[in-house]
Amino acid sequence: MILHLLRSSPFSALDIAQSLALMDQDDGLLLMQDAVYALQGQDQPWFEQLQQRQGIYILKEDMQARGLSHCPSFIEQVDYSKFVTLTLTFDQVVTW
Amino acid sequence: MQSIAIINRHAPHGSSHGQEALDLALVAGSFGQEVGLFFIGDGVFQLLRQQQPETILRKNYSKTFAALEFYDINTIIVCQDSLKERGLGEDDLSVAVELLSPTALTTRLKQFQHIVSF
Repeated sequence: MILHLLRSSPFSALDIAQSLALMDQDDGLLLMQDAVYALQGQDQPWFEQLQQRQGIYILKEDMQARGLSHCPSFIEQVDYSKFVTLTLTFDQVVTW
Repeated sequence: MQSIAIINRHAPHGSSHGQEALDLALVAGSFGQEVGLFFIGDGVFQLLRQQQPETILRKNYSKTFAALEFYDINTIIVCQDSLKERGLGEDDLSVAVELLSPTALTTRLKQFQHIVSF
């Protein structure tokens, strides 16, 4: 099981589309730093793919820092300590 | 008097582009130059309200946007398409702005003697 860490804005980088294409059912994807702007991507082609996945997480601190508050239910909000726990529960961690 | 257009293309806090662009605007403004702030692409995220970058130990410079008028900087232009593409509207922003289409924005940009991009 792989945990994919995304850090750049999905509006200016291809990371989210590429990592989604690589993900298995039991892999995880964590949105952190500028990748949290994925929350604003409702009309983007990759958003639907994101919605059909389990194991999508987002880092709360990075969301608050950027003034983003509404998070859809299919994305689980985690804080830094839960983030660390997550990296220990997956076999590998891939940083994009 | 010179006129300088400052283009913001990056989101806040992930890099220091936003802070540096704002610092340049304030310095130019305090020297009596005519300043135009342009926000395109992810740059529009800089103007979002309720930012709390303290949670990730970053300075909250977004409050400074409200002080721009004291530096006689009242040309703040935002690309309409960039805003819409990101599911945002004018009421999500922390300061009054002029919404322009990309073509109209380019025309306004050309009216400035100097153009700097961050």
